[in-house]
Amino acid sequence: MGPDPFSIDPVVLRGVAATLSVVLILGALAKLRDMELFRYAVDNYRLLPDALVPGFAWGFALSELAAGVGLLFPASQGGAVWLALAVLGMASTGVLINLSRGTDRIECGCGTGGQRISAGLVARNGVLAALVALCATDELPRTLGLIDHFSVAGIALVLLALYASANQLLANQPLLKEIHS
Amino acid sequence: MSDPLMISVVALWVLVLALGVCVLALSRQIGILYERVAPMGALMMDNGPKVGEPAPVVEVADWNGRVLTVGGPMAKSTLVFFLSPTCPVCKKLLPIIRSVQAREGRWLNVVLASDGDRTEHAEFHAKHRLGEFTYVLSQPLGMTYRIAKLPYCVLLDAGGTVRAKGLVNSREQVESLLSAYEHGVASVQEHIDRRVIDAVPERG
Repeated sequence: MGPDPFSIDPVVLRGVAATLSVVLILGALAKLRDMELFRYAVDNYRLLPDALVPGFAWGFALSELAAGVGLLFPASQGGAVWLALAVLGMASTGVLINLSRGTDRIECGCGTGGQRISAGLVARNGVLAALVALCATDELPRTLGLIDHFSVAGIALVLLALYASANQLLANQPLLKEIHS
Repeated sequence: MSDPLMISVVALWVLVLALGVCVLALSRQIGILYERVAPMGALMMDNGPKVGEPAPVVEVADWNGRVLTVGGPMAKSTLVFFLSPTCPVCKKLLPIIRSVQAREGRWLNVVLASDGDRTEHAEFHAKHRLGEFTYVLSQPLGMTYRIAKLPYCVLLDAGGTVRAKGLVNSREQVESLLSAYEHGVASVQEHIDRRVIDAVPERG
């Protein structure tokens, strides 16, 4: 029997999972480091009654942390994929509702300093969600050698650099608009 | 590791990674150019009335409709705190501004300044119990001081001269603006610069 056509090489899957873990864990830690600020950011979305905001903020940040840690270990990866998709889905829904209301001047609360909500942010979350879904596919059964571990590290580091660049460009966007206006 | 293909793959990974880091650094530098703000301290922007110059006199209406003059001779010094209901850092700093007003009330009036629709501010004003502050909604005031980023503080002395101003993100930066005023320096950045200059031993 040949290899399953829907299976993906473990090098790709492990590189992507490592990237997502770092993204989610760093995002969660930035929020947990200053929960007061994150609570106000959640409050700005105007989607929840005041009484629920602190609980939601804690729940969101801890879920993000749990999803990030869970993706690191094969045993917990299945649950972590669903948790990560839920976290990204909730964040994107909040952004989309506020964009449709026309309140696009609020900060996203992503933990990346003053980044405003935008369609670009939803697209970024869409790409992250697609990568999370990729982690749920089956691994091709093969033994990894030294060069494979090197490739996993390469994929993870380059994806992280791309992610940080994308965030920076998204954060630059409103400033560029102000310069043009 | 002598396989030429493997060496090529390793070399390419290293180069791709280096390029990734370059792209990140360039996008960050573009961001800094856009912001035109140095990365530390409550930094002074080059725009608007300069520190040491008399502040332009701007007439504004406070929350209750009373006419108020910002600038010109006043009974006390004035700290104008520019904020917005959608800025999380501004909300975080409100308790600090409140404590500054309570502590320094003898010589300092705190004015919270923003612009926009009053209905949008009504909920924010009520929720954060801002009745104890002078709260003004005035676009000309923000334009006068060329406020580009929030939260931003401007400190005017009783004579109506700008004594310190800067972007503030933490309690330390609010305090540093007040201490910059007390020590007679324009901004925290200038204070740091002076210390650096003082620390450099003279050659001779």
